[in-house]
Amino acid sequence: MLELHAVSVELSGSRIVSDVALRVGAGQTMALLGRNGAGKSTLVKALAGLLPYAGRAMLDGKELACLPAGARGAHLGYVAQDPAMLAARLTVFELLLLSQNSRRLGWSPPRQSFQRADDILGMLGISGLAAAMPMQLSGGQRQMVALALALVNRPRLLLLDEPTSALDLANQFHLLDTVERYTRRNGIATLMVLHDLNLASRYADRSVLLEGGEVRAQGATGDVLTGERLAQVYGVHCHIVPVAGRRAIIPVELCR
Amino acid sequence: MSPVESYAAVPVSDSRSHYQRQVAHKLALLAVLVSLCALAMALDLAIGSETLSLHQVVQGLLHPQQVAPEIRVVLWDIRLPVTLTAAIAGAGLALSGSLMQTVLDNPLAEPFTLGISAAAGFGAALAIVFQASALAFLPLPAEFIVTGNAFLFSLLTVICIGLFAARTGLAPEMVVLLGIAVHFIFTAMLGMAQYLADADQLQALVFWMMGSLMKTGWRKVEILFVIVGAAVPVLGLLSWRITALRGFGSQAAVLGVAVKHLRMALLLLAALMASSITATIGVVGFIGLVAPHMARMLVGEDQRFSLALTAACGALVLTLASIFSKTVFPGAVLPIGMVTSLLGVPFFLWLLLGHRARRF
Ligand SMILES: Nc1ncnc2c1ncn2[C@@H]1O[C@H](COP(=O)(O)OP(=O)(O)O)[C@@H](O)[C@H]1O
Ligand SMILES: [Mg+2]
Repeated sequence: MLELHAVSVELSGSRIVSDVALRVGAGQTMALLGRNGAGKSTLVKALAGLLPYAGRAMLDGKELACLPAGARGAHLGYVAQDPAMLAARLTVFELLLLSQNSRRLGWSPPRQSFQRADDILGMLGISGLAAAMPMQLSGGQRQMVALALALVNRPRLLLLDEPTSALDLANQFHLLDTVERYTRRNGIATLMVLHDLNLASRYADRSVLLEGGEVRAQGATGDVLTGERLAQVYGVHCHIVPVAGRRAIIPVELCR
Repeated sequence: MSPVESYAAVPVSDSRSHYQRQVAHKLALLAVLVSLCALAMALDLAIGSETLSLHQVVQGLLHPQQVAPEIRVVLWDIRLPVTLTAAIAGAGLALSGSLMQTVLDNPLAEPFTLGISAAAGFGAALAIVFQASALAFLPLPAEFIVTGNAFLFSLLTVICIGLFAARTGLAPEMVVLLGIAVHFIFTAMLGMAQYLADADQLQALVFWMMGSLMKTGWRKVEILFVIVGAAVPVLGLLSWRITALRGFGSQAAVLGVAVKHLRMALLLLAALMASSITATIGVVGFIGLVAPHMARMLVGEDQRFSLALTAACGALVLTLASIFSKTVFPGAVLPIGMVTSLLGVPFFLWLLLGHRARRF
């Protein structure tokens, strides 16, 4: 369970994220929505431990910033908007071993690392990529690999920054299905930045809408994404129509 | 059917055995390079003004009492310190270059990127021209005054740059620029010292700056061995973290790697090795740039293997350079720094061209 109280992030003197409070329950997925520059990535980076934050961010009752270094990897899975690991001449399999053993002092990786690496590749259906290097892969394949690297440590908190931006239609569903199943089955908290509002409606139990670094609205995704609010925040008229038992959001035109 | 199945080519259980085959392959490459090193060192011991046979070399090393006294003297008192210095310094410079490339996140970084060579030169100049030593309070033998001064100046320079960068949160490319500025400052001061020096001092200084193995001796071998030898196990323990830093960059922090501290520790190790080697044998370029790339091309980025191979490549190249320096002009020994560049560039180009298809 993730709980934020008055979390703020400053970058080079200016406040990019201010006073964010939210709660993601065990087994829940929350979508972090908002326009470009709203501060979504900044918030996620701060929670991942890459930027300092003010306020309190508790994971299962423990302050995120105070997690002991040795336990970080086992608590946090983070997929960056632009994942690193791309320049490295390491195979996907080597990266999966590295992700589990990055603080290891001994020589060989433990036996279970191999098993977990195999399992996660199988779970995501990318076993065929094991011997490839990330720079030989397509953008979408890299996003699948980045998710594998985040999941292989079995995190309690999953932070995904636009995880589907380069995926084809099938893989968007495949990746988010996997994330949803993993989240529910293990009772973890997942916070993901999405731009596709229909995917957010489909996969996020709850959503937070950021504007200028502040929470504009939060709650059940259906309640957050109303036509009126989309017009105010995005400046786009949308029709919201029920299709096959779900809400489909159809953007129509820019507001004048 | 999973929508990603179209990627599938390798069955699941194969990924592990593929990895293990790769590991065996890398270890084999390492063994080959270490053997080549040993062979090159034996050749280096054999070749000189009076050439010995390999049999004599091995005999003289293993059973010194059973060979003629003059062979024993040539081997143990003259050639062995030089050969060992070449191997240790080569390994140390190569490791130092590799660490600098990682810390500064720059494939063109090398041991002298942050001004070590100019700082060492200036330290030496102070001792040679002005007989001034920062170590005057220590009862050092005369031969160590120049060396000690050079060591202290170069090490302090890098430590100051590192601390300044950590304090101000400078990005790696800014640290490189800072290093270049420091390099020019010391070069200017070195020039001033040269201007004020008399003819003998000037010659001593120019010769000192030129990398040469002839300045070594058993005491210096011991010092280099201790410094480089101490760095090796530390790097062994840190190798997973260094790989994480290379693979994930600052995002390694998400996995609990203390990125800032690791960078600082690696910078310190790199500076310690480069400074001590430069202070002992002068400026030997190119090895620190080339050897890490050779190693990475051969075994990739897993630092458990690539650091070990980097050290082996460095030792091999400098030992070969030592052989070369004695054989091009019979009777004369070329300064080693000159040779490393001549020898290193074509080899590097060959490797580069051989791998271009895989990289781009
Ligand atoms: N290092 C930085 N220094 C100052 N401002 C930054 C920095 N990084 C991002 N910003 C600003 O913070 C705001 C939010 O950025 P970001 O969190 O990346 O937005 P997004 O919601 O699109 O992910 C943007 O206006 C951006 O210009
Ligand atoms: Mg973003």
